[in-house]
Amino acid sequence: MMKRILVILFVLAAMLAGCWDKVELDRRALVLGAAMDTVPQSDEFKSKGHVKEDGRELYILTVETHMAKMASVTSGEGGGNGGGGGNGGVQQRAKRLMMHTGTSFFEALRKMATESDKILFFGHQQVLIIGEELARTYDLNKIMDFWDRDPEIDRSLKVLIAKGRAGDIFNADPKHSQAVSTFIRNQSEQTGKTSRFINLGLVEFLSKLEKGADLLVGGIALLDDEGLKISGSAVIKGGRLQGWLDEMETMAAQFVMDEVKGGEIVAPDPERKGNFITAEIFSAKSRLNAEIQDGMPSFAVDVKMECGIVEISDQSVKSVEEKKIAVAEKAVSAAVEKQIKDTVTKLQKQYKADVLGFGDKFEKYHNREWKEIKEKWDKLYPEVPVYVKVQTKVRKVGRKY
Amino acid sequence: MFRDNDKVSAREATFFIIASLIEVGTLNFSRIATREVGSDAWLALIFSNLFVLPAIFIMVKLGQRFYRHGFGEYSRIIAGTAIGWILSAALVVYWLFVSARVLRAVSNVIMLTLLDKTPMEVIGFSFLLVAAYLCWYGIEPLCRISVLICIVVMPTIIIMCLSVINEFKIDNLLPFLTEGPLPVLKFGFKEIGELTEMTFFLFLIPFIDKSGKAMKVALCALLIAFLFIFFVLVLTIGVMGVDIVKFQLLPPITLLESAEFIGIFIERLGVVFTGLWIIMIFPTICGLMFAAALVLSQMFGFKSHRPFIIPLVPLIYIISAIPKGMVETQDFFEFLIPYGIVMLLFVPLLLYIIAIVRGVKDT
Repeated sequence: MMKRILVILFVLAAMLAGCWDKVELDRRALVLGAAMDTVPQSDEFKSKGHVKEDGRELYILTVETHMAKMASVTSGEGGGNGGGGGNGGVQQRAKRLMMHTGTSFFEALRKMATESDKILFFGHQQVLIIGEELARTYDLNKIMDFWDRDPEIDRSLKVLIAKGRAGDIFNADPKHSQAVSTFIRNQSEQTGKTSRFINLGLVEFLSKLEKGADLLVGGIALLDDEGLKISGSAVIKGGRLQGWLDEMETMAAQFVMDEVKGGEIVAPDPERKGNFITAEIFSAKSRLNAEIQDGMPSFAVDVKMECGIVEISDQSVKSVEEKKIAVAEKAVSAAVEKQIKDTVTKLQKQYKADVLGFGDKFEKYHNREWKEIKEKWDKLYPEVPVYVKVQTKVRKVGRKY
Repeated sequence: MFRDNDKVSAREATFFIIASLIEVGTLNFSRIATREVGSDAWLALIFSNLFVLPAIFIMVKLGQRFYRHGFGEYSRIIAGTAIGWILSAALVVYWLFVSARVLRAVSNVIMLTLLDKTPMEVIGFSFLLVAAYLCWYGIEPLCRISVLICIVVMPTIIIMCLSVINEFKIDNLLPFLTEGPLPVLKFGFKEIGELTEMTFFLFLIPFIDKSGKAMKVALCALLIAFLFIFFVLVLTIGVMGVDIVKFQLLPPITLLESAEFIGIFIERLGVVFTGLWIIMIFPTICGLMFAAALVLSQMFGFKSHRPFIIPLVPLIYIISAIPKGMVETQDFFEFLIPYGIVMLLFVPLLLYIIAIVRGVKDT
């Protein structure tokens, strides 16, 4: 008897087991990337009823999705699936763009659901792109809440700010990759080779915003030939976009933040005018020290770098001697030092944005003094002295000795 | 095989306490602590573990004095039938509420991160039924499963955490003691109430085959659990920074989700991390249930704890379902912290003093 009950129980267990949250993969659309924008004041959007009469704030959310099996549909009718962005269909890509407006981003998502048979899944999102206009007009602190609150979102996604409209980025044609988002993600992993853009994850981004700190966010731009360029960085001050740093300035800023992992430096050769020494960075360590000088804060940036000489732009230089190496070391140090100084000055005087975390450092190491100057830090910041010291060691000279 | 054997070795008991100490509260701790004391959270954790030492000392001494009886029996021997009965009842109620809190917290975590449409009844009851099954066979299987869980799950969690260690910044743990040591000490004392599972020593000692080793068991377990919790806490704050930890519901899970595992082909390891952590919660709930059932059986003079297990299942579930929302849950179970301090520190102290004065002990 007992045995019979057990058998029945096991059969029932096998048959009745299920999962409330089950969604078949072919009913899912994996969101790979999302772009946030403001609604432009154009007639096209008004006629579609996207702009509400009461003039509330509205955002546009564009998502790039990937659908399983779409790629393997053999018939020709798959072309009709290229949605909103108008980029689908030709080669039966498994990607699709969806776009909608909303007063909140969640509202925009739910509106998308009215136009799609697929369930959006955010667990594999790779990138989040913020439009330039949105970042300039709104406090990012106020609009990022959805990405922090939603439990489904993969917190390792990358945050970037687009030059121009963020939704347009997904119209790019990444030559070697199926979707724009994966292209961006894979490219941002190359940061070790160039140090020219800011590889910023969502959690770090939110953490700095939450703190009220200024920060740098990687920039992305759509080129004329539908290519993509990820370089430079956006300066965010008080939650708003203040301006841009170019590639080399971004690299200099990363030197201060101790984020440089590689890259190259082209330094003018001090001995022979018009020639250059190119060095590749193997490793860089930097320390930012906050000190008190006559009761006022001052900062010292101390960079220690190891690099190798990879190119000397003069055929007449046949060998790299010890003396020459010392010269090269000095030249590279001087070049980096100048770069860092220029960037810091630009951030201090032009943008007045403390993106390098000077105030934060001071708060942590001189807390008592910080409480006194906290209120007037905004005024003090452009004037604080910053001393930069770079030490370079050349470890390799390549196969030409 | 293990049924009614009811003797565990000192090592098994140690693992049982470790596995019970690490529960869902550990996930919340970094948020609560950074809200109260900012970047000194790690110091508060050290203090709360130091403050609990006298309580452990008294509980173990008391247990060793009555090495053949559990709490339900010796409280009556010491303080008389009526008071002993009331104290035992208070302890049982405490354990029931703690297990309800743990159950509610774990269902919240599961609903938030893994199964968002599954109703709480299903998660709660399936959790409790498994726990009840484990409790049915007594303390020995419970301890052995704890050993298994500890040696499989804890190293895995540590290895997963190590993958984010290169983003650890010591600056995030600064500034140090900005408001002076007083708030940290205060919070550290309050957090003794979170080390609930140390009350297991009130019933555990008769089951350890060499009850003289109980002190060693307690200290070893506390130390290992402390190191583990400390590691997770420091890593969470050190990688993410105090400001974001304050606003995350489950900071360590956010930490693991934000990690980039270069060279690993699996994404979303945060989910795996959550799953592993949920396994760690089983010994806690089982232990609390077993403890409550055992003390109840001692109170009513039953030989076995078994008749009380099944009635406890709906009871725990009902308590856990009282608070309506996630925010309310936090407030509803808030009273457990002072309650815990009383049960952990004052009740054993009182009983111990009376026992010495009256000179009663097991021979």
